[in-house]
Amino acid sequence: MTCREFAEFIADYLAGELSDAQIAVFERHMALCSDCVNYLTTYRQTVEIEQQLFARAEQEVPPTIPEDLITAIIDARRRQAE
Amino acid sequence: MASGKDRAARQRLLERLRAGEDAAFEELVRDEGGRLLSVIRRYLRDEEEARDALQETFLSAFRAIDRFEGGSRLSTWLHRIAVNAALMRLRSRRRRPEGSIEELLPDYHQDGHHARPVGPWRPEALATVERKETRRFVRRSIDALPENYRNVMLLRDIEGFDTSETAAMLGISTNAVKIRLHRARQALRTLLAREMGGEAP
Ligand SMILES: [Zn+2]
Repeated sequence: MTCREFAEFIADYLAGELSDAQIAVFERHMALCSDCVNYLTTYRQTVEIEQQLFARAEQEVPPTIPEDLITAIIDARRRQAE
Repeated sequence: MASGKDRAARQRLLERLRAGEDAAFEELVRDEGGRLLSVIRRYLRDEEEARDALQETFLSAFRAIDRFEGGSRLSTWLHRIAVNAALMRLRSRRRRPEGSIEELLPDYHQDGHHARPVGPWRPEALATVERKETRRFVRRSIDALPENYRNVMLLRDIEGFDTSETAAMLGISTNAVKIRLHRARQALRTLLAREMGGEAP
């Protein structure tokens, strides 16, 4: 397995969608290649950072809806009902 | 939030909504509007467009309230409608020419090995994700991805839709979803690596 091939298996590996035989080949490459170990780790960290970004943004600023938008939506519904 | 209401309270709200009660509609908008607006803003960076999409979300939901099955939560159902409303706006908008994703994918030697050494990211750099400037940088990096890749990544990694749900929402094959998700994460990884260190630019 080359590094290029290794990279193509990463998403399926992390999703637990590889067969045992594929996992064995994948992990054999990791045992020999520190570049791919680092690539896999930083790929995983990328997804974590992405997920943290949105989770944290909402923790810090509790989502609110502007009053004028509430009014606009209620008016739009009324117009639609007429 | 309606999602914070207990089961009985949610059921009562649903009955009032089905009865067409104005006050129930307003309660729903107040309970869920903020959360849905921040979901929509992930896709629509223009505030006017985001507001319009939120309005569409509530109007569509209200028209379809009789078809809502009590089995799932109202908030889960609204979340899906909101994402669809945002995607619909993106589709109807004239497409801007998008950068290619190729230049953000890893380089390999002819023999298939990494062209440049790949290092681990510095722990100090990872810790700065707590900081506002770093988060702005991450957000800018996500925004810099080509839209058709970014949307797949958001639907899968952030909204939590599975591969076939994502495929149906975007009208593409499940295989295209898998490929775009992987490419988007690889491209984002390349952009983040510039800040996190560990490899040559
Ligand atoms: Zn390798």
